[in-house]
Amino acid sequence: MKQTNTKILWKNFNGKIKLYTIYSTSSKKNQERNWSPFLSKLSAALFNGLEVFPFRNNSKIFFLEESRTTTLTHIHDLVDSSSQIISHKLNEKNLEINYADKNGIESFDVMYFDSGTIKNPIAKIVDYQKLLKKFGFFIIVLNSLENEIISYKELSNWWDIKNESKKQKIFQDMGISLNKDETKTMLLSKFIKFSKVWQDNIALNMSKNNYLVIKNQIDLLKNNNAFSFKLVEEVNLSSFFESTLFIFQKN
Amino acid sequence: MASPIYSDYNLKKQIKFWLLNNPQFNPYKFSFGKFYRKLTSSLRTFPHFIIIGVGRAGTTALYSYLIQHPSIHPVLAADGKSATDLHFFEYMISDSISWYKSHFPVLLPTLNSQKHPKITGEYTSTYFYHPDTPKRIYQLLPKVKLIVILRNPIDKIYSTYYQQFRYGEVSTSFEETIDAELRRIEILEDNPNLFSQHPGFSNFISQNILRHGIYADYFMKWFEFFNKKQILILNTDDLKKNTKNTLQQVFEFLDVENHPIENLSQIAARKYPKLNDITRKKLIEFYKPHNERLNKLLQRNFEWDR
Repeated sequence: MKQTNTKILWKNFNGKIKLYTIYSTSSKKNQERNWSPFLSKLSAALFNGLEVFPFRNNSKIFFLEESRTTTLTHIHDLVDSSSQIISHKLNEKNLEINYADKNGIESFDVMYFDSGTIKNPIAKIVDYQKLLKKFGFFIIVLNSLENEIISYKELSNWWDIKNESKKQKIFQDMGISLNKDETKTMLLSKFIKFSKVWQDNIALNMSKNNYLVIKNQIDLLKNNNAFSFKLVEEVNLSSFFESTLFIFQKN
Repeated sequence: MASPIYSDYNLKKQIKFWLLNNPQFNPYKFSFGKFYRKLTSSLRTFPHFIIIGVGRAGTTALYSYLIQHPSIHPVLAADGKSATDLHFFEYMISDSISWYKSHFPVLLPTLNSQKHPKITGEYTSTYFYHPDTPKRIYQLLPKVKLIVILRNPIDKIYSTYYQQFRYGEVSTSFEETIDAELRRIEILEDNPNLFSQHPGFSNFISQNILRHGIYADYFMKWFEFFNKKQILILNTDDLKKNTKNTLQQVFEFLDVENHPIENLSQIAARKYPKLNDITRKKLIEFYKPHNERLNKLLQRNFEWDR
């Protein structure tokens, strides 16, 4: 059992690892709150090997997320009363948040963005970094937007005309080992001949190709002169989410 | 039952396809082979040797050569084919020893010829890095023979990077990935309390690409539990250039007769762009003190600083 200064706790139950945050109740007794990687992308990142966890007891945190998950509750657990958390629900409408009065003022220790299904999030949050302290951490979660790209009709058309090597790669990516004969049979099959489960699996796997979308977004961030960030960490959240979490540090 | 596309196949294959296509009927992928192995696990042997690493240094090739030896039985998967990385000691769950044993053959001591003893072994290329693996292996198999194959750390980490890139674990360039890892090391040196402290952190590949080349650090942990004679340390260059001699060395270590191996093809070897000279120089400087430490520790002379 190991405890960090950031109030997170890893426990090992016969080889199965669980993560908790510690919080105080009104009676000042410490309680443990299970932090599921299936419900929180930050927890998923910790499970998938996130090394630098930049939340301190007194951090001033800016938190923006499209759909409310359990992450914010756990972030509250991580900090004490001297800290400050400003959270907003992310959507297209309030994305360009009015921080004009604070423009240019370095303020936050950590800024956390889950870009949700917002298209081109980097371009839209470019000004947020001005609110980050020097050497502060900027965390951004980029997601595969499978629903926007893959429809079953498109997929069916794609499947029935694409060459075998590309289809074969999909099976490899799905981790399905088929021998030569089996592979041939599966590749020759029409998409509509597959069961719903297989169609879903193929669609899901195709969406993983959206990592190109993620890569483009990150390239935009790295190549944007307005950002004075250095990459600290990249964590693929596979097994839990079709997302990638990046941490940058402001110079 | 089967669509016309399956008509060319025998019944067994048709059933397999149908189950693949309709996983709701066999969600736990039950197989008689797996069931039989689990049932007979108490009769099965533990491995006599384990190749514990390192990844991208030739572990797959080495294992594929060894199991061609008539006295060396491979690890078997449920379908009877040779299984790869078991990862048992990394994710070891206390009640899963029967699962582990179910992968090995039945080698009853009374039936095993003393002159030509049959042995078995497994390989998991990431055991070397896990902080708890040495202790766990020692507790279960204190006399097991361990084999480590080491490659020039620069070539090893470059190969690892491309493997991780292919898997979609990293999307940045090799240089950016290395720089980010150096930055994390620096951040944590200044602020150790920012470390996430995942209990198996050192085992994560894409987060430790650079550090997985500092072999000396990991050997220290192994030598806490195993004596040096119990661990055979090979060099990837030797396996590549002097394959027969290297294999002879392994057979001697495993106490089996020397035997010619027919298929010596390179397995899992991949091609990727040449490493930038500036980056290589930078990495040579980075690894130089660590390689010196390794040579001193192992009393070897790995010439990797060129």
